[in-house]
Amino acid sequence: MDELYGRDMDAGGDRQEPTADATSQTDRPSHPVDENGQENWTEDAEPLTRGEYADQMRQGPAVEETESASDGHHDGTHLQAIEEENQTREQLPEPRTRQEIAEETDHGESADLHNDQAADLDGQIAEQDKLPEPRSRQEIADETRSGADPPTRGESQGDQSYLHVTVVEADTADRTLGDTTPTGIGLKPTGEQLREMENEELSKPEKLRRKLLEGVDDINDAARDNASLGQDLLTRHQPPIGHAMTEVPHPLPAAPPDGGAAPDITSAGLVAGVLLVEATRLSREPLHRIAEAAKGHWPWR
Amino acid sequence: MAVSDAQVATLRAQLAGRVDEHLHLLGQIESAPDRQAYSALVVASFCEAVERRFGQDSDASEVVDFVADVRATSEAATRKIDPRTAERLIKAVYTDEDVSDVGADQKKDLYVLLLPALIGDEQFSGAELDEFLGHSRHLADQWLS
Repeated sequence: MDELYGRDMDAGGDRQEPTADATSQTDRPSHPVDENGQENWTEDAEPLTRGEYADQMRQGPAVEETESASDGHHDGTHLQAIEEENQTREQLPEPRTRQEIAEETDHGESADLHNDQAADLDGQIAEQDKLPEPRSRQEIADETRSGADPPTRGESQGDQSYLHVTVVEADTADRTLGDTTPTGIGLKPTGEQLREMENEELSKPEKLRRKLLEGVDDINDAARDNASLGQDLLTRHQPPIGHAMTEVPHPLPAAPPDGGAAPDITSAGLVAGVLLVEATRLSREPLHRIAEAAKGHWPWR
Repeated sequence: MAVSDAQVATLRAQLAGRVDEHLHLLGQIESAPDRQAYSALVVASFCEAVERRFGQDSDASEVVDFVADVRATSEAATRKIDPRTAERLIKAVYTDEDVSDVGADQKKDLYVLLLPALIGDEQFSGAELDEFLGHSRHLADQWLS
């Protein structure tokens, strides 16, 4: 306890603040200190701007500095860290242009820095740099008037994406109709070109006429000669006209059952009765009349 | 020059299956302009029938099947109809098929044989046949004007 009080008394008498006191560090602003633990921060030191502070926070070493400071080891200050950072940045090479990177790639000097994709990109850039500068309309017109035959871009580079243009010298008679421009807008089409243009503009009926009707002036003879065969082809899928005759077997009548049926007995009785009446009537007539009746003469009628 | 009613009646008799009437009316077409007009009507009818049967979206195999079916009707049809020429003539109606190398006589025979075969498959009623001939006549008149 005495030791404790004694310590308190010494502390209270000296009032020297310990540098490693976390509480006091939290309450007071942290100032840079030197190797002996003395603050080397001065009022005239320039404060950090927001940008510098952001850069400092992004750097790894600055974080380590903070951690070491929390541990009580103040080997570097924020200001020193910033100065070292600035020196490091000053020592970095100047950013290179794409052309420089491409050249280095060609010489194989920076194989570790570039991958294949970057090499392809540089190659495309190098090719584009080799292309000639596009000419203005005025330059093209001047070259045409001077009679020179400048190579077109498509011809010189062999690039299919450019329109091939052929410049020819033509008389006024060879120019297309209505062409009064100094440089000309085109030549008259040839006969072959006119025919192709005409075919493209033909209507479908006209195309059919040319393909199918030309030369077929008289079809009557062919129609007469092929009339029968044409009739066969016309009706080849049609069913025959009229009703088809089909033999259908008639069902046989059912055999009469054994023994007489009621209608048969009635009919037999009726026939027997008629015969009996006629026989009785004839028996009353004289014999000669019966004989005449047998000959077909019926004197009583 | 235009297609006359008598020429339409002549072709209608053939496509309706009345052979005697067709031949009788055909004999009455005598003058060269009338024969030319009747020829135009037959060819226009052939084009109209092919368009109705096959059209733009038909497969080439349909044409081959049709020609084979027509040739199988009889020995005379097999002998008269060259399959390759018939197929080309049909396809020339709705494609860019070039038939300039086909002779006029061969074309005439194929027209008068393939046209009734096409119409027979359509199974037209009387009104439908009249409507078909009306379209054909219109096309023939365009050609003759």
